[in-house]
Amino acid sequence: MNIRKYFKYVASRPEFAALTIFIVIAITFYIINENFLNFRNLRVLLTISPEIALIAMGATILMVSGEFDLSVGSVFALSGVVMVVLTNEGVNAHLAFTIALLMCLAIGYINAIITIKFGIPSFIATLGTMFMVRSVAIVIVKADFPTFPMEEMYYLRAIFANPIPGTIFRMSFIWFVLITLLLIFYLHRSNYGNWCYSTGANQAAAKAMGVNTDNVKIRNFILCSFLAGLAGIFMVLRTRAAFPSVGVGYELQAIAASVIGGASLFGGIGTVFGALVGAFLLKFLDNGLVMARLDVNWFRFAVGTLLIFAVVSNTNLRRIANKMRE
Amino acid sequence: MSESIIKCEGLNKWYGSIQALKDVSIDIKKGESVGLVGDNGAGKSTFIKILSGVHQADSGNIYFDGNLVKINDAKDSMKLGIETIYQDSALAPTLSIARNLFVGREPLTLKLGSLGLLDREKMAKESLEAIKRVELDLRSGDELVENLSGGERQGVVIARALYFRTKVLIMDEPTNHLSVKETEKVLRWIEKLKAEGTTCIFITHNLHHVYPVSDRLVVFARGEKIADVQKKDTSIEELTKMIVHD
Repeated sequence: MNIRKYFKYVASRPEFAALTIFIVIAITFYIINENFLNFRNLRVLLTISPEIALIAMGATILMVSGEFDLSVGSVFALSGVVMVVLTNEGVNAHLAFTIALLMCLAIGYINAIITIKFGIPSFIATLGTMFMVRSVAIVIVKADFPTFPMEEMYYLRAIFANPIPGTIFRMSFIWFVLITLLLIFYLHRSNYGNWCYSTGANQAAAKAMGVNTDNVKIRNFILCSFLAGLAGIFMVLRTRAAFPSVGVGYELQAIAASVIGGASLFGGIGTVFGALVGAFLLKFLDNGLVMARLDVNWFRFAVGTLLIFAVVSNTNLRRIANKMRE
Repeated sequence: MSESIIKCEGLNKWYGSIQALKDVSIDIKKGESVGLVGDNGAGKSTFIKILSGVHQADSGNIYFDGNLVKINDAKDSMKLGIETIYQDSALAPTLSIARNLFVGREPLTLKLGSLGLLDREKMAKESLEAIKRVELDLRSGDELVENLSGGERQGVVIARALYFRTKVLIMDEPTNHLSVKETEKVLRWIEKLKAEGTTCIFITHNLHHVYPVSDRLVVFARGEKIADVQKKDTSIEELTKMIVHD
């Protein structure tokens, strides 16, 4: 009976299936090339994975409440570009950092307003802003790569990007952990989180129970955009370069990570932890293929396979778990 | 039984040039259970939507418990103690019973503005008690609503109404799509609600569904109230004639 209960628990929580696949993949690549999990490579993995994980967690929370954001990849690029260009123009670096993030909040708000006020699918609304925001990022740098203001960015780098001496972590990892905990609190432990799920699962019911479903969505659009922008800034501070072309395709990777982590495209299902595992899985896979000296172009093939496998197995596991009523 | 809980005077509602509600006045007493019957488009849904705050009347007054009230949205309606259950749309299927019970009214341990930390212990304990009161055969409030039968879902909805001491429960086709056995169960729960003093309003186009539990029946046709009778003074045949012939 206890095994049954345990099985039901695992089957109804797809993030554990994703975690299992993640562990299998990590071990496999380690067996192929033991350098995969050495100090240096682990540091690389723990630096790049959180950046996509931040985006994926935002995307998942938004999906739970029943909406999508395809503009995250463009926001990822724009935030860093704005911060660097403003600083180069003589604006105080910390002010530029703040302005860049405020701009991300504004883009999230615009995404929400277009979707809600005009009643169009967020898929289309944010596809539109995806093109618009990318265009702005390229126009701002005048199709050139801005120089990175090393001196002005000294403190921002120290707070958000520098490696922590004696560890495999960078500062961004600490922020990532903090933000993850806050997001877990928000989605899984707070009343706001309950409103996210009920809005995504049955908007009419949530409304009838007095939940302001529009506000729930506006909040999540803003959150999603903010996290994408923050991830972009982390990357710019780390690489000391602001390219307007970064993050192309991240919107789909974020959705893939969410879905691999168990989120449903129909809303009402998904977890922060699942998104995190999904995102780490994608980055480990990407990096592992390089380390295994395989053709990197197989990355997309692997992601596609994983995605389909994840959705098919999640759907079936859920069906089995649902049948096992206590 | 003579005290009013909801009293409406001269409600009118237009949708563009179509008048959906024509000068409707109804006086519903505390603890009464009222069946609103009529064909599709007769105005009964419009009337309910005004009470639940989905629509606002263009003219007319609503008194709740003797006080003149304005119901502008679902929250206003809930604050008064009116809860409306729409057919198939009262619960979020992918959420647990416990989470569904408390949507919008979550018990919190810590609060910062409107954001708060869920009191999960209380939610687990009280949801179990709530479903026990409607004699649902479920061992925990953690079960997902999508795994419940239609009758059990209605049970959860009624448990919610009982738990929050709803004064007026409005149900849209409460026994639609249910098996005979489940229908009987739902009707028994409704008796329980009545026993606890909850006023129940049902809307239906199937008279046979509400006749057994209604004290009073109100017939709508073309936006007007055409009959308002105590059950003891009428019969199914008489009411059916009214609905069909008008």
